[in-house]
Amino acid sequence: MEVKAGPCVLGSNALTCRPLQRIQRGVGADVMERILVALDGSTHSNRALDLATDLAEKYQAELLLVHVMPTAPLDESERHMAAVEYADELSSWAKDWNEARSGEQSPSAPELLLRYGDLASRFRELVAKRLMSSAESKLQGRQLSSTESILQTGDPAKAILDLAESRKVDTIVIGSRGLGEISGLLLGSVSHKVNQLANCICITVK
Amino acid sequence: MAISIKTIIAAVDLADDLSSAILKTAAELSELFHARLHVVDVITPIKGFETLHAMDATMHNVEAHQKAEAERLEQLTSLVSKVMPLAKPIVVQGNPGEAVADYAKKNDADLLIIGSHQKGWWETLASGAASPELVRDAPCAVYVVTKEAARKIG
Repeated sequence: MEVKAGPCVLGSNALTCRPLQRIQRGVGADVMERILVALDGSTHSNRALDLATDLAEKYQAELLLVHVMPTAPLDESERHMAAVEYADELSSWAKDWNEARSGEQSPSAPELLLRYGDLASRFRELVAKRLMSSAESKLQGRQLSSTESILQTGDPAKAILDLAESRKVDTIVIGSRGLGEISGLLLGSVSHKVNQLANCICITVK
Repeated sequence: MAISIKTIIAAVDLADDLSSAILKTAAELSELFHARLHVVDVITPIKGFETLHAMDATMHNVEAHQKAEAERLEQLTSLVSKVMPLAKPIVVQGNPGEAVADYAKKNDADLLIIGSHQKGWWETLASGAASPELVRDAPCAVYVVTKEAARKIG
C-alpha cells in the first residue's frame, strides 16, 4: 500500500488535536441525545459499555443499557457455562425437579437445561439480572444525566433494532462479537445485522 | 473504566455526500478525546501492463493516475485544513476496505469513523461498498455515520 501524506503542521507522524475552542453545542450533540448499548457479558460488550458511558458522559446523553435474552434453546457452551458458573442455582433447581418427580433419576445440570425450556429461561433471566447489575455498578460515580436498564426477549438483532426505532435512539454501541458467536463469523453476527440495518449511528467495538 | 482513544482515523471519499458529516464528527471526537486524527482517502491503484504493446498506453495512464492522486491529496488537504487544521490528510492506494483497515492497523487506531449508505447485501455486493468489510476487518472500534445521522449533523 502506497501512502501519500499532506503537510503536517508540527512535522510529527500524526498530530494531537487539542481543542481549538470550547465546544458549546457540537455536531455530536444532535446524534448523541440517546445512546443504546447492547450488553451480553462478552469482553467486546464490556468495552462497548465503557465507550458508551464515556460518550454519554461527554454529551450528557441518556444511556439505555439493553440485554436481549434469546428464545432459542441453550447451546452446548451456554449449558456448560451454566454448570460451572451457576452450579448452586442449578443444584437447587435439580433438587426441585427431583421433589416434583420422585422416583425418576435426576439428570445432570447441563442435561436438565437441555431438556427443559422453562429452566433455560430461568437460567437466562438469572444471567441477565447479574449482567445488568454488574453493568449498573460500573456506572456508579460517573456523571451521567440519565440511565435505564432494559431486558428484552427474542432475536437479539431484531430486538435491538426495534428498540432503537421505538425509543428514537441516536446511537447504538455494540460489541463486535458476543458470547457463542463463532458461527456468526460465517452466518452474520448480531452486530453485523444491527450495523447493516440500523438507521442511526452504530459503533461496533472490538 | 474509561476507554482510551488516542488515535482516530476518519475514512472519507471526497465525492461522497457523507464526507462532510464524517469530518465534522471526527473533528469533534478528536477534541473530546484529545486524540490524534488522520483523515484518509483511498485511490484505486492502476493495473500493470500485460503486453509490451500496452506499455505506452499504461505509462501514459500512470502519469494521469499520479496527477489525479496529487490532486486528490491537494483537495483533501484543503478541506481538512478548513475543518481541523491539526489533522493529518492522507491518500492511500488500494482496495478501499482493505487499504483503510491496513492503515488503521499500522497506525494503532483506536477508533475508525466511516460512512455507510445502508445498502442491503445484494446492493453492497453490486456496488462494492466497503463499509461492511471495514467493520469486520478493522482492528479497532468502528463508528458508522449513516445518511440519517449525516442529515442531523448537517
